[in-house]
Amino acid sequence: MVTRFLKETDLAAVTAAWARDYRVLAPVREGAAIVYRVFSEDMHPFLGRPPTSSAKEALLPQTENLFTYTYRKDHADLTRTEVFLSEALPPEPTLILGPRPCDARGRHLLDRVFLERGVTDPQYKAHSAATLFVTVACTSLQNTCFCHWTGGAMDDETGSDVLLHPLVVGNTGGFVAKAVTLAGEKLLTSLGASLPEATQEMLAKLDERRAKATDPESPSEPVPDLSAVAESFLAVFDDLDFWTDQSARCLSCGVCTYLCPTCSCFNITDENHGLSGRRLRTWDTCMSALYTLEGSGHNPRFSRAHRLRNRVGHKFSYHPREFPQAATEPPSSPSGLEFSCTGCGRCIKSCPVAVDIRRIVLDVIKTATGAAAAHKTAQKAEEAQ
Amino acid sequence: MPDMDRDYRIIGFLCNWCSYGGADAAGVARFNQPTELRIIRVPCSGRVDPMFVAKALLSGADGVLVSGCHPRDCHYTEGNLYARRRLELLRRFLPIIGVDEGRFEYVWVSASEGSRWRDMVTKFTEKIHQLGPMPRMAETARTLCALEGMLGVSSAQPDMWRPGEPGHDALLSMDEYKEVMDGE
Amino acid sequence: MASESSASALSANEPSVNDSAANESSTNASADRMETLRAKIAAELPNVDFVLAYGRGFDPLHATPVTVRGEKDLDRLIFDPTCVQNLATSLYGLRGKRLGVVVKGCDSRSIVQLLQERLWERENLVIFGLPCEGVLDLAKLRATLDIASARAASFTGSPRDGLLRLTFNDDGGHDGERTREIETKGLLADKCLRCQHPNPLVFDHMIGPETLPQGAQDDYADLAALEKLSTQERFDFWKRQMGRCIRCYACRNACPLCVCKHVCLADSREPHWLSAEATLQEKWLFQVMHALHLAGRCTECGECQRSCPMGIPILLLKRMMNRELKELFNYQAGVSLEAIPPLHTFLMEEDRIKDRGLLW
Repeated sequence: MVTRFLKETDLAAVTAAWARDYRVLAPVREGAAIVYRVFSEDMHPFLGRPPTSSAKEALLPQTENLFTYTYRKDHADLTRTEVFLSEALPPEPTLILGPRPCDARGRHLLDRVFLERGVTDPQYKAHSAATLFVTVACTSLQNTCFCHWTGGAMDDETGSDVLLHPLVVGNTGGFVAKAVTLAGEKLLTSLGASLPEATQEMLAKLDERRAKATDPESPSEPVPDLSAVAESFLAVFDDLDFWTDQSARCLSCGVCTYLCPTCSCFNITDENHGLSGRRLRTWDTCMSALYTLEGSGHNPRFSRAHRLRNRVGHKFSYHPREFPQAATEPPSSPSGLEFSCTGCGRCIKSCPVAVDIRRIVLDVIKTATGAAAAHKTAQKAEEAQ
Repeated sequence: MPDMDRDYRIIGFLCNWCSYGGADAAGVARFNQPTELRIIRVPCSGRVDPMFVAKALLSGADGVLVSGCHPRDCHYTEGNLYARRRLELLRRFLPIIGVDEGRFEYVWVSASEGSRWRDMVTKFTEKIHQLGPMPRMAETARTLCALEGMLGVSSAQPDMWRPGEPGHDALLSMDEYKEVMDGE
Repeated sequence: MASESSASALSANEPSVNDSAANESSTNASADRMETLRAKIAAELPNVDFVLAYGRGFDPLHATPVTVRGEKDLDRLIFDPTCVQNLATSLYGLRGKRLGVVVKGCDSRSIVQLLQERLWERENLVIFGLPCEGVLDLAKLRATLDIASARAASFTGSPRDGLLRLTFNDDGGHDGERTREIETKGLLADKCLRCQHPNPLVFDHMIGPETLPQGAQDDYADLAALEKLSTQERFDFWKRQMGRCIRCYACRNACPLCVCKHVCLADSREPHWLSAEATLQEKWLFQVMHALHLAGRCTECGECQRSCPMGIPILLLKRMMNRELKELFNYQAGVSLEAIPPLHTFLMEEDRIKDRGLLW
């Protein structure tokens, strides 16, 4: 495996070298946010904290042109109109710098939606094939992080092409760059001497860190048992009081879904400009009432309770039930299920009213267990009678 | 030095009862007037939602002129009096988003004031020529097509948009694009 | 309405309430205030469907709105400078219910505005007013500290001159902790620094002693700074800011007065004000639309800007509108139930609008 050392001070230069061959999306600080921008020489990528937005935008742009169309009227016979279509250009080779392992794991879950449901999405496939992930490993968990609940880890390599492990050697800060895929290897070796080999000492340090993080005796918070959550969710599905209380503060905005590395819902619209226009695919959010509003005016998910229930259910119940085989494939979560959530915590951190999906999931399990116990007692009482 | 050669896009919202008649009177009288003002007839200046103006300007119009009946002369008695408050507020608001206050104006012209209409149009058009074109947003719907085509990012064929259409002249060089994305 | 005696009986029976109140704040005054709040809410519970109040969020620096339906929920209540949300935001979506709501001074202005616009009936609302000395702006704290690793937080003294004590996990060792004390004064939200209405303007129960306004009169220094730039620079400033908008509409949904919700013009296909394209033009026009539709209504509660995950300073646009409204019509929204909004009326001769007819 190729392992190199990237000095912090060389980061901009190395990124610039990559930017010659790729469209590089790099995280920069802007105001209170850290956002991905197309890299240019005068930019300073900021890798110190997880970016505000997820890396999803590299694979599933917020708006994507599916094709453009032009109508041409036949002047001899005005009842006839011809339409000309032109396909979108293929995506440019892209390198996204600075996602976290939770973002990279999101790739795997987006693949499930766009590649593994029997229909292959050509746009997504093209983006996915053209995009390299140069991921930064985490060294500590933020209080919104819960990647370990879903099978992730601070240095998980799933979905990455290169994983950068932050490391301070002596007075030099930098990253040990580990190639994960062949493309990642090429990325590191192509730069030759500007990326020296990582020393044994560095690798030993990383191993030590890893051992510490996975040490079962370490005081990190225990992972709750989520193995029953998929069924528990169905048990409380109809308990609308439960969901009303959980969602009473929800604002129905799209922060959680748009920042989520795995939310994949989209809308398709035609944007007309006179006789021509574009057919667009745009992110959509199941938190919005418009998401399920039918042409008749009926809305099956008319309240915030219904919508929040859908989001939680999709991530922690429908997905594991749709992909049960995932339980036997690595990487599955400690609970033996694959969730449509990587535990990045963005929906918690950026929520204007601090809705905590972890809390909801735990409450689901608790309520379902409580309900089951009550049901059993009632049954026993009935039997006794 | 006003650039008189270039054609600007100026939108006029004219009330049906006074100003549209005034503009018509100016035409009937065969006054010489600039031709860059595109007139949209509305029932009353009170119909002019400030959003009309904002949308026009942010979509690339170089100037917007609203004209209605003189106060006390409104066909609907008070439409222009409500409009006056809204439009004055809008006029004072626009500078904060980086739109020069001169790009939007509201005036009162009656149906008989053909020559006054000519003066208004001429002066407003001159002012827009002095201000030059409205700054472009690199990412307006159409320039995005051009940009994506140029960068090969993902999207439309640039030739989808006929040259000369609004926005198309804003095709940026790569350097300018980067400036937009990272500048400050 | 339940009697005072039953309320105090409740608190006497539940020592845990006392305990958690003491944890909330180190000062007795604020513990007493929580006690009063709990008692008052408990007394009103039979008269309302539920009460909207503040509870602890996922970490010690985040509050979250909670619904109080029964006495068991009372021990979740908190009130401290982390209670930033404006609970009036949830009201419009809950029309038809009879609700209680906990408000700060600034939040009460939103309620005044909702009542003035007849968007809610006063008789269906029980307002618990809390005089407020300021709330935190987490963005200010985040600028200097990695607040996501804070494990505990406590406040001493008034937010105006008190301290915030934060406990962090120690980066170096395993179990070690380090603490930091920061003056809360520098962390207060900007709106608090110019607050003229710290005491709720409309209430059924005022909890705790009224406090004096601390703020200097608003001099709109932020707008003045922006106005010093050239027109082109201002345009570029917003171009840059709007560029990172993700169109999540948190600003709209967090706004207590944006009551159109899913029939918002921004989502309308016919008329097609905004397209689905994530372009600058659409993002920008939406913010202008938001400011225009709030002209004469916005009380500057700041929820739009606080909710923005991308940190776009959109309150500036609303403040600009408010400054001009004040200058033109001497009007401030959300301070009087009887006032006529300036854009709903006119004067035949406007005092402060130059006659455009004689302009040229």
